[in-house]
Amino acid sequence: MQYFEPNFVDEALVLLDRFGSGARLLAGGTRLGFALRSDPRDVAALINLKRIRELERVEERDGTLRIGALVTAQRIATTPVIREHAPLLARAAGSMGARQLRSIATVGGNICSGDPASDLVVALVACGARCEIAGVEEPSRVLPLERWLDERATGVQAKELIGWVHVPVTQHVAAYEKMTQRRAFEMALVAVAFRAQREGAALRDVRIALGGVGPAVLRARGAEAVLSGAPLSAASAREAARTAAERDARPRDDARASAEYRRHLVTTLVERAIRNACGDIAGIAS
Amino acid sequence: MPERSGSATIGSKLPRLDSPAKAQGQAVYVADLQPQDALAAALLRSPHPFARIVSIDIGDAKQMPGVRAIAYSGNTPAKSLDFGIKDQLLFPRDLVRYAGEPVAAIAAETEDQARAAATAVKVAYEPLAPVLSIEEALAPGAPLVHPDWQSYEKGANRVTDRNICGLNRIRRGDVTAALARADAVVESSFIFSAGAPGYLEPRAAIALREPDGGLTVWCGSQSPYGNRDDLADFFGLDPQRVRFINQFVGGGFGGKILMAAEWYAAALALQCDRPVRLVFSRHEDGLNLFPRHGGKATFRSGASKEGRLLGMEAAFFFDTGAYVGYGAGTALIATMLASAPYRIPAVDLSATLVYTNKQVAGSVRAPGGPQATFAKELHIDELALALGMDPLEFRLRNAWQDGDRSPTGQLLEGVRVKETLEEAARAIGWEARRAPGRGVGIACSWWFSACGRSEARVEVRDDGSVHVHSGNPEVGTGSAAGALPLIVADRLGIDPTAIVLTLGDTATQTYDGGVGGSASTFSAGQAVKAAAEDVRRQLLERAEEALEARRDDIELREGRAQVRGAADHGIPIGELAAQAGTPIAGRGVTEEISDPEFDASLVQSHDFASWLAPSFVTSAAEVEVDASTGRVVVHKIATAQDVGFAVNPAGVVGQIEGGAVQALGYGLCEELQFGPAGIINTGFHDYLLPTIIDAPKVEAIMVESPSGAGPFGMKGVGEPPVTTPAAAIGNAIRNAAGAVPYTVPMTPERVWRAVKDRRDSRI
Repeated sequence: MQYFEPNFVDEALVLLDRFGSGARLLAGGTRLGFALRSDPRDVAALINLKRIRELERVEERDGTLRIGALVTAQRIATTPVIREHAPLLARAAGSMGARQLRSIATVGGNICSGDPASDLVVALVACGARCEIAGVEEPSRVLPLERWLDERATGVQAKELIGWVHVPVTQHVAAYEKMTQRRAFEMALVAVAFRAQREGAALRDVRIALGGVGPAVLRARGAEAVLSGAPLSAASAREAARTAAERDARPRDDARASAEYRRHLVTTLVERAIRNACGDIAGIAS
Repeated sequence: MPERSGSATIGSKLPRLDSPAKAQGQAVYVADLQPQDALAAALLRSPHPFARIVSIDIGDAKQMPGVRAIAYSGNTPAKSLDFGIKDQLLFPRDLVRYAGEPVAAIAAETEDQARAAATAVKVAYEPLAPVLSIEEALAPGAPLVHPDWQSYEKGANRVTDRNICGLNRIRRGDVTAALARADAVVESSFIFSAGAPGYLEPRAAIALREPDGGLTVWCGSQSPYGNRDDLADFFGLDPQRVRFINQFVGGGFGGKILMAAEWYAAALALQCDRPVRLVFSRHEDGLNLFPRHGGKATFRSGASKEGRLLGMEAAFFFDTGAYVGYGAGTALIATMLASAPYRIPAVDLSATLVYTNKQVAGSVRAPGGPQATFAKELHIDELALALGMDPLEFRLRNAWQDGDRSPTGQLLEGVRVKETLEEAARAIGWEARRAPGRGVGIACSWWFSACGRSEARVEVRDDGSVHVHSGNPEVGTGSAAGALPLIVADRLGIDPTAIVLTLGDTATQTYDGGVGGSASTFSAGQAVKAAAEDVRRQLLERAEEALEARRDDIELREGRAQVRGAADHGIPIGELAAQAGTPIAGRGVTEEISDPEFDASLVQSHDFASWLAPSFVTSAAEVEVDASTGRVVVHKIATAQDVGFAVNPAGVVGQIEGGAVQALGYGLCEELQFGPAGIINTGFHDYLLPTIIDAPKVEAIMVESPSGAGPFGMKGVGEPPVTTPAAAIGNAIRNAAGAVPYTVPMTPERVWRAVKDRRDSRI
């Protein structure tokens, strides 16, 4: 296995091109470390991105928050401009693991590891985040995070890297809810991120992301449809929660929890998220 | 030379002497030792839970680069280890009986070479249908984990029958008649998951064959002398030429009583002339640990409408894994706890130990204690609720008192059940009104003080230094590095932090039975006390001459012998040693204490039917339950424990606090999961120990009622505080949410389901 520390994105792309599917990008290493320990055989090149300074930047410009792929969860949780414009993301980041882990886990690494219950990814999907992708063959492109996650599932991204995530800055209400078996340092059994724009008593541009109930982070599009455009009420919040659990979520039994319990958690946590974000609208605060 | 000033007395709070080195990262653990010429070892483990070994061929592996030794069934003694039933070989010959069972060990120049060679050992297996649960093991026609069970040598009290490798029973009175008379009878069934000891330092050992035919083993053990004797016996070595040197130990919790890495490092070292170093990864340690027994229990009890317990039946089944190991202790203790500490005229209490094709279970802190206490205390609450009685009141009404008899007929004196119940209830605010979703629960039990053989040497040298040798290792309990130096300091009037401690090195020839059974301070404390008193006597004798004063007028204080009331008329104790021309040394040995009497007609195949210096403990918990997710937040645990006398209150409080948090993990989130390839959650990423955020406020209350047996009247304190909190949490969950799962751990999903099922059944 060869080891590299490129200084620029272009250098990293050249290495990706050279080693193809044998290349692994190292950001925080919280996931890759596991993988390398259990089976390092397919890895021809380890490309450590830590020297690429531009990937550590956080900036707000023209209504968009740009967050470099190497920004850690701890910085997301504590950086004022993120806390101001994307409090949902900051809260989710602050709920991750423990401080030691937050201090090395990165936003890019979280997206690329494909964990279906990543707090950061759940929050980013609800925020309507887009990824700015640098590739060998074409200039950088920007596409919705969900689309990138779909592409990732089909395995077509070998020679690209995520440089930045873009989070639109808009007026919104939001909430983040998650359930774990102990109170810290554990992947969520189910995580729910809710974000919407208010228009009087009605909600617009509702985005609900679900973690832990499918092969990847999911949008709860059925639940979003229930809430979008209509006046919010206790009944519609309940209906949205039920729809999220019964139509949108795709949980399976595993060693940590049954599908039935995860589905139930979706109902409870989606309703809680709506109440916490919009409780004042229809007097449905929990 | 150490500065000496001040002194300390027993009963004062001494921070552990090993803490600074640990906190500063200076403590040296086995894995920190890297002898220059050491070979690295790796193990080949069975991928099958149950399989016939058709053949083992080490030919190719021997030829692999760097390989220096291979140990396996073909070149190690075919002798069985002895845990009461001789059912286990060091390396399996005909059958592998659990996934992860070591089949061969390889020593090579590098770890990578050793691992590569391990995969080159050719083992032909014929997989067999495994037995993976108690139900499967006891089913008619079940495959036999030990087809040769009938031919095994075994101890007098051991019952074996196909997949059963232990059965003990306590019977008193006529339970059927008692239950027929009862106004309320309830029956409850419980399931216990297996749990990990949860120590942080994975097992590791280094072994070196010595030119004289002996062996030196660097280890991190709870029982270096016992391990030495077992190893010497197995390999036919002179135990006096086998030296175990204990390093700092990163926690044991019962998981490091038996050898693991030591066996394999030693087997390899005996084949070469270089040190062999075997360090388990966390994953390997997870495959090789000795879990707390999983199992199940059914209880059936009845009481009169006045709230008097009349009869109880309890039947435990424990999954002990592929070999009996230390399983007998868990089963015995469970029967001793099942009806205690309550007056019940008629009882029938049994525990059955069952073989399965899983990793061998062990003696995790208070073996059988958390399991039995969880079951009996949730059952007792259920009975109280059936009678419409307050659970605290029900317990107080039935609690043992002085002069009562234990279930095996032992006469009980100095009983402090009521005091611990009342103290814990007061601390938790039993009577307080609580917000919806909040609840309280209480659970009580009893425990023992084990007394094992222990020897100690205390020495005052001419430079004034004080040396203490004890075979008792410090594994994190704070006994050897806390209570023992405090006892010496108290007797010699010196500063305990200036004592030079040598612990758990068998070259010091101070035998000790090891850390287990809450015995450390109780046993080693006696030996150290006797040795220190011997030295004290000699110092006073010499001071009498040196100071020309009467012995009664001389005191030992701040490192000096001086005439009482005349501080300038004294002499440093080092000076006394210098005048003697030889270190002033004393030896101490534990006194044999015979076990209390009991009624043999009440017990069947029972090795531990009466308990020395019994202690009593109660925990109360306050919890908050979110019924819609099943999340339980424990706000407070109060444990009131009868400790006899607290030699070092700082250490006792530490044991109670640590016990509460460990029990919280047992009760709420810790669960070993087994798959066909063995333990699945071998690391702390998936095996969920409680974090500091999960830890509640713990109030430790010491009830002191001198034992009459232990040093200064103390009782064993390490294990009791881990037995009661999970049960108290369970009862608090029912109090808060109206239902509680009868399965530990009480995970959020299980709590949610228990509450939901209760609601569903009401519709």
